[in-house]
Amino acid sequence: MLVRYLNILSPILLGISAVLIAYSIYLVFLVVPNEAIMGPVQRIFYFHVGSAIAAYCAIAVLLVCSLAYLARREEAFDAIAEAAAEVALLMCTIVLVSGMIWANSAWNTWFRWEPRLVTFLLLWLLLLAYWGLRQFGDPARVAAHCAVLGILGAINVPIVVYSIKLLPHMVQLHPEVVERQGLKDPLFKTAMFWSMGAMVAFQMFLTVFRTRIGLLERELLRRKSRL
Amino acid sequence: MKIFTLIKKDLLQELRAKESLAFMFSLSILFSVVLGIAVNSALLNQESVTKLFPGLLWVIFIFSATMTVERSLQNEMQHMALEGLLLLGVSSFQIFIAKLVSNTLLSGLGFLLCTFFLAILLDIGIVHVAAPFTLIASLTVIGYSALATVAVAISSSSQLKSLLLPLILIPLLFPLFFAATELGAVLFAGGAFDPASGWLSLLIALDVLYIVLGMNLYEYVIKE
Amino acid sequence: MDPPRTPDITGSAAISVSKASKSFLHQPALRDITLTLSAKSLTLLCGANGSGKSTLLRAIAGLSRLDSGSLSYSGAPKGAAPRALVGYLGHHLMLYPHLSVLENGEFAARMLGTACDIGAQLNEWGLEPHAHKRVHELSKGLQARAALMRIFIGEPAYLLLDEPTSALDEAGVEILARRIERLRAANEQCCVLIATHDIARLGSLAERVVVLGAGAILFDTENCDEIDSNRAREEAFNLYSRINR
Repeated sequence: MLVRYLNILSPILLGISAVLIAYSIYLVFLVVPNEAIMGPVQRIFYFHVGSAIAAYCAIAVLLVCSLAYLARREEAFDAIAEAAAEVALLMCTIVLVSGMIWANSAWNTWFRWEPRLVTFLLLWLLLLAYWGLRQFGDPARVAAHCAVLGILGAINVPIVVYSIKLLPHMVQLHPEVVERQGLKDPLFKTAMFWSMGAMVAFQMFLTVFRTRIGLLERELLRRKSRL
Repeated sequence: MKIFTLIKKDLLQELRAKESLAFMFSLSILFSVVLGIAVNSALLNQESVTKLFPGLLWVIFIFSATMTVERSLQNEMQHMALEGLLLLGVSSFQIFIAKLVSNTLLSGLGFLLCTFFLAILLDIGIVHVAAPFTLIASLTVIGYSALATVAVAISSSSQLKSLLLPLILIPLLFPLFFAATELGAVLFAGGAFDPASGWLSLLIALDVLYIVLGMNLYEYVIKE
Repeated sequence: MDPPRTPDITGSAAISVSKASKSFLHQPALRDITLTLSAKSLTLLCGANGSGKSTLLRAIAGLSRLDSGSLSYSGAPKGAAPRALVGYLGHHLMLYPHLSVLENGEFAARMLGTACDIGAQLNEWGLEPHAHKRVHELSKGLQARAALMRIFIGEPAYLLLDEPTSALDEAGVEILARRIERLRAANEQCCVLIATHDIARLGSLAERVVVLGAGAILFDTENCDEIDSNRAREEAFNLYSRINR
């Protein structure tokens, strides 16, 4: 039933995100001028931040669906939570990789103990834990267990962000600082806005798509066992 | 009160089984020695070693306590006594609180052992900061136990329990770990920490949060 | 606080299972089972391995959640297994390995809030000489007896046993039969459901036999009004032996 809605929703979201991504790429690579301090590499930063926002969105979906699953025990919520967690893991990976590329060109090091990279490293580990539980957990109880872990993990996310902000000595070479100093051109803000929108739309499409796969997998298993 | 009976039962089992205690003792000393060798070969001055101490201590603690808590749950799971408790009319809230207290006591003991061994091997004086250190340690161990109780229950039902437990538990511990090491570092460097710093209130808030979450979510973990 | 020790059963139905279905990992274990167990009844549940006996028992005990369908118990709100009234023993002992038999019994009594003479119970089950031994030191047969003793401590109103005789010797089975009789005599409304392969030793106890196959009810002696009950029982056991071959 839900699959039917998703079948319609999926190509729509794909279309929307494709358009947004195309437009963002156009803006980021062709319209926006080179940033004064960093040069062309700075362009990766638009997708880096966009992916971060998308990851937070996916984690929010994970939290809501995990709570909903425990309340209602409907398979759909479990499937959406599973999909959201995977997409969040993907987005965190993009943030980390793009962040490391940025770090390499800006500070000549692959990793730096700076707030966003460390935050996303820890988030990545939380989502990896969720994935691990999905794969290796007791199959009869995995849905409920993952829901509990999803809730614990998602609630930990703002705490991790807050703790890292508290750290007094962490190198605060946060892109935000750079932004305030170097990105005065309003075009930068526009490009940032559109690329964030693009990544969020892309994340929504991926979540819907993966949920569809998850629901179909479950249906397939059910029908196989009836044979 | 039922909870006291449950706690007594847990502790009695631990004392008799001796497995967890033996585990804890040997792991604490083993990890302490390994770290001692590593630190020694780095040829750091004593001041740096003192600064490193809380961090190293919590590392050993996380690993040895995790293995110990996992073993202690085996007593419940071996004959599905946990289900037996549910059938006796014990609520999952009562089970959680009892497990929380016994795990805290067990982990607390483990922490003392780790501190003892590591402080001796690295020649760190703790007596002068004993009181604030005990406060930070107690708060951290309580928060750790709250999360570990839930995580152990999740991982114990799977085939790969020993792999799954650290994978699930450690990422959840990072905020606690931050707080413990930051407060510890300040303490051992300066001799006193600023109670107004965000870290202490964060630690207390985390404890409350994890206990509340644990109380509410435990039911979904142990019941089918 | 603690629920009453005996349910207030005015009607004749004690446990009512309605259209219960459950799957494990997408394999159906129970298919749309409807079953009504009356108070004062002793029912044997027979079936081949994998027929759903254990699943049904666990669902009735409240340990397992049904995918669809409902359960109701007289004296308790719909769907909620009245804990502390249910005595369930499955394939696991539910004992603490490092506590003694006596301690396990006392612990159970304390949790249930019942004052019960553990000494007499130990005697009845022939566990007196082993009272202070740790459970993990006992043989399988004695462990089984200790587990059963623990179940009966609460004088449960709903007794659900899953293959209780598999580890018991002849003497143990006799003690079990006597104990069940005592329970039913003490509590008129007691409802007993035993899943078993052991027709030889428990068959004579049965007032009603239900045969399960592949998650559905194949035969129920209660539905055979025309035949007399002994013949119905024999038919049930024959069917069961045929399935099992």
